[in-house]
Amino acid sequence: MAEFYGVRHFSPACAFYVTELLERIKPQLVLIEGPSDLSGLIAPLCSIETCLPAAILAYTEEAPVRTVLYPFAEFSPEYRAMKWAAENGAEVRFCDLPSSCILAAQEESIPENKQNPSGEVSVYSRLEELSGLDNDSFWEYGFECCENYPDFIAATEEYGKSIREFSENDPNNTLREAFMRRTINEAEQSGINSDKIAVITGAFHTAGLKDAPFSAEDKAMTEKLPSVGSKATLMPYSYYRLSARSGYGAGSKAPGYYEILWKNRLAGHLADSSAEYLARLAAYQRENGYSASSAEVIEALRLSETLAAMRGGKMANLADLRDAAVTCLGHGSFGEISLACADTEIGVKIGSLPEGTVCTSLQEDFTRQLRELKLERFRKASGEELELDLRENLRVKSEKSAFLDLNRSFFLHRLRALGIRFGEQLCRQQDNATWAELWRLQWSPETEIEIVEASLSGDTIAQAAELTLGKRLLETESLAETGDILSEAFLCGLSDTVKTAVSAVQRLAVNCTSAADSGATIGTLSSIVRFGSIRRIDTGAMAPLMQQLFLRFCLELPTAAVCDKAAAEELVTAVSRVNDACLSHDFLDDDRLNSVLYELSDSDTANPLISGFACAVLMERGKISAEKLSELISRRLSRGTPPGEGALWFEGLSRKNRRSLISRLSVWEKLCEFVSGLDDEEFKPVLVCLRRTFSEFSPSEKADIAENIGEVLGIPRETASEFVTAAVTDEEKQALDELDDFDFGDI
Amino acid sequence: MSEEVLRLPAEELYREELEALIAAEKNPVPVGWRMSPRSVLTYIMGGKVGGKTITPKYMGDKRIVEICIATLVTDRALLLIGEPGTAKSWLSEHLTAAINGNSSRVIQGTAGTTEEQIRYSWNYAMLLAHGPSFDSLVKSPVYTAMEDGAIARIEEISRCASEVQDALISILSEKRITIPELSEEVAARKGFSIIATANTRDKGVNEMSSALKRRFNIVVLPAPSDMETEINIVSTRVAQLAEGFRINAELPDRTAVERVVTIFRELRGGKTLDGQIKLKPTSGVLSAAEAISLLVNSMALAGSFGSGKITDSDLAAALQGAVVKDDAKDKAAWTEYLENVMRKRGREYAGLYAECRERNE
Repeated sequence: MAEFYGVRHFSPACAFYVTELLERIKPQLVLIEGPSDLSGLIAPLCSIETCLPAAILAYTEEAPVRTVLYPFAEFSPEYRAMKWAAENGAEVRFCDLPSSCILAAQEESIPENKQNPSGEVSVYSRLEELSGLDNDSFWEYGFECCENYPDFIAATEEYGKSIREFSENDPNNTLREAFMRRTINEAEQSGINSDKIAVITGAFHTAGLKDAPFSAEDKAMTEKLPSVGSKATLMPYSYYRLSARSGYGAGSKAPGYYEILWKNRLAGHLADSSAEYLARLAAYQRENGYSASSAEVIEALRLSETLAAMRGGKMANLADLRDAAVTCLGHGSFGEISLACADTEIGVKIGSLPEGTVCTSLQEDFTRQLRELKLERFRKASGEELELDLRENLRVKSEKSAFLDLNRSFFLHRLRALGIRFGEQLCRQQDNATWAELWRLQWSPETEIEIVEASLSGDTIAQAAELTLGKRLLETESLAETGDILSEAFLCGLSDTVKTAVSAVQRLAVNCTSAADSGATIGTLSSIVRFGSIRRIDTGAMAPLMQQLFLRFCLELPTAAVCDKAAAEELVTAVSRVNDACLSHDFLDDDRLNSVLYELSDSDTANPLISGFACAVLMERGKISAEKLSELISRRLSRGTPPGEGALWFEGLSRKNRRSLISRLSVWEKLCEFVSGLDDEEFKPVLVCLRRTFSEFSPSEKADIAENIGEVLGIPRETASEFVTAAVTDEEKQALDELDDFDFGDI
Repeated sequence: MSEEVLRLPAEELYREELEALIAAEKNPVPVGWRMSPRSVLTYIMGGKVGGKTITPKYMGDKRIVEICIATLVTDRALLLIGEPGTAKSWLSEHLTAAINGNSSRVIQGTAGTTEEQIRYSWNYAMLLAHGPSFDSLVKSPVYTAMEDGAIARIEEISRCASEVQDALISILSEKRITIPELSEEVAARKGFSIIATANTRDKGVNEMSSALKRRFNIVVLPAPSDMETEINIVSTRVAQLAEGFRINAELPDRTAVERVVTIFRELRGGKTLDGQIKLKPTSGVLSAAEAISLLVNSMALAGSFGSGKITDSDLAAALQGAVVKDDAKDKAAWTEYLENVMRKRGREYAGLYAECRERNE
């Protein structure tokens, strides 16, 4: 009978003893739990140029792309077995269901929970009940610190058996085991001495394979397997992704820590692992400017050993180490050492593969999408423009072609989010219609390289874009930037990311004290909502979010408005965006904004530019009475107000609806009175300000103003107009040049 | 005597449980301890020993208690940190009750605590009459703990002035007290340790020096982890207190307790219970203890001036007082909470919302 060895995936102890086992039995053939159609990838995986972590990735050829991943690390028992076979000239093959069959099963939407069948979940919770330890701690205490080969082999066998005893086998597992029995049987039939076959599978399966011979039932079951066209490749993997995929078998919670265990075990001093872990945390803390003394490391080590002893462990496990580190190195708070923990437990290691072995699914996905979206003709070095109409094309039948342009837009936006340079969005000149986009597409070899680089983030373009934007969301703490990511996700058509981003915006909005930021974000959200359903993404969640931001904005604005000129400019932009949003959405509380603006327009402490602008907005909305306006103008342009401020206020006032301002003669009367009342010293700063203000007016507006002023001063309108529009004389020019040296102070 | 005493120490209250645990001891007992670390854990977290049920003393993460006990096994001092009302002193009292059977070696840290209270002082009458001798020495709880190989407790250590805190450094590192007046030295027996508690809200009052912090293993006690536990704690305590004060009002029904606990938990945690909306935290602590006193106050209000049943208006008044402590910031946060969260909770909360809003105007 063949030799069976049950392992736990990503267990350094198993990886260590699997080599010893193979060394003892010296098999001719090693069978490993893995997709049997991909045995060809074992050789490149074991190549000397390959650096782990790496993964075998199988994916369907047709859209929608489904993938299945088999990641391996340096300390994967399966990898050690392959490596042993490669070095000792033994044959090595995978013996589990072919990947094409697993992908097909996904397609039939059979819940594909092979990594974590329901039976195992309950057996683990039972284990927890009995031992008072969670699954990981149980394994680490019981097995990971075992340093004796026969004990270990006996213990793992017992472990596999008990797990099996207490869990129900689901049909998926039954099928897989039937297939494995079949493969083993075939190997035995092929003339290899059955003693010289080693079968390396998960401990759970070993018991099922060992005690049950290949039967007719198995044969019937595995005769006709579903299959789907699929391809496979090796791909570099990272510890980060390994840890991000939770669940038994598919990943490892703390690959960095397991690597420490593995290396120390190899070197023969496993007991040093705890000290190494803690010392690395301390080193990270020191490098990053925190204090971490050796005394603390020693205390943490002692504490972790006591904790382990209290729970019956021989050696501290990861949970003990981490808790001890929090207590001693982190002074009670995990936050203090969380980065160090992430660095030590997970690490940043990325694998690499020899050239030529990688054909990533992302590259395939790119080509496939080009074909599907009829963009293949743009795959050339000379650029070409492409105009998109995002609306549903009602003249075609299939949904696919009806939304062709929309899907193209999603595709191009996603590439942009991934930093793959293929399409560049151009501004459309005539209107800012939400349904039209103009792109310039250009292909270069860099594009291909960028795709390969992006392949670490995901297996399809959509998935990679989602991950990349998600990562950026995690990294940023700025509200405005999060708003931008939200709008980007919206353009990319990634509804899940939009959801995450909405909650991120919500989260940041609470602590955002900058009215300029919240105003800008309201503007961004408003433009998303105005897209409506054209991008076929639900914008329902935006309204409450905008309401919340709006409330925040209104509460913060009065305080924020007491500021200098530069900040005031930002705020004016923000107020204007919020005002636009308010006008286009009924769900925002108009009255609240009006009352805040009213307060601002009347406030003497707020920056005059903002006061003036608030006044202009109210005027535009018709929310300020003529008397009040005239009172404000008199006050602002009176002798009591510093002239610079008066002029600045006027600048704010004239930022909006100039026509209605021009038509009010009283305004100009007040202004004339104000200017003529100034002495020479006061006149200069006012002149600078007013000149800046009026430079934004169009010639015809200027003529009208001149007319007004003419009327006020009693000059015929032609003369006045001529005077204003006449070319600047040398003398005037010189006077103006002198103003260039004028010290603007804080105007 | 126990009838007349307002509050019995833990070792008296739970004498039977402690004795049952000692009787059933199977694991090795550290020097100076009365029971094994595992039994201490059972005493605190509850369980069954030899047919006797041990009531849980601390409702929360078992792991935290494990770390505390393991710390004391390694002869390190333990510092419990947490918001007010997170059972720091409670836990320290029960730990010493289980380990030494004596939770009374306490020093209350205040702004007026002196170094003598940490080390020793003199009985001046004796000193003048007989000169310096061990007889005229007044021993501090820390001193006696060192002599007995037991654990001393220091409450609110961060309220002590820094020179008083510094007195602890040498005690914790040398594990001995020198008495220069007698040219003597007292060395701690095995089993000696210190459990100190400190309040996170008092940070900066007398910031602990890093030299002192380094001598402690620091464990942070969190607020009750789940809603159900907190509602239980709050309603049980409200009922107990109301009985004691003989308040002439109905006990708050479950919805009222649930609402208060929900609002407190949400504002304390800075997000809604479903995690969908982040909130601005307020300056108040809003601990379970405060929820209890808020409800008892509302009951007193309703009993003395109202119908005897807590109304939305009573609750709103009490909430306003509890949440808005500090000027405009709290008020803005409360407004945001009312508008963004409570208003959208629908009809159940409509009455309370209207009352709160009116009061917050």
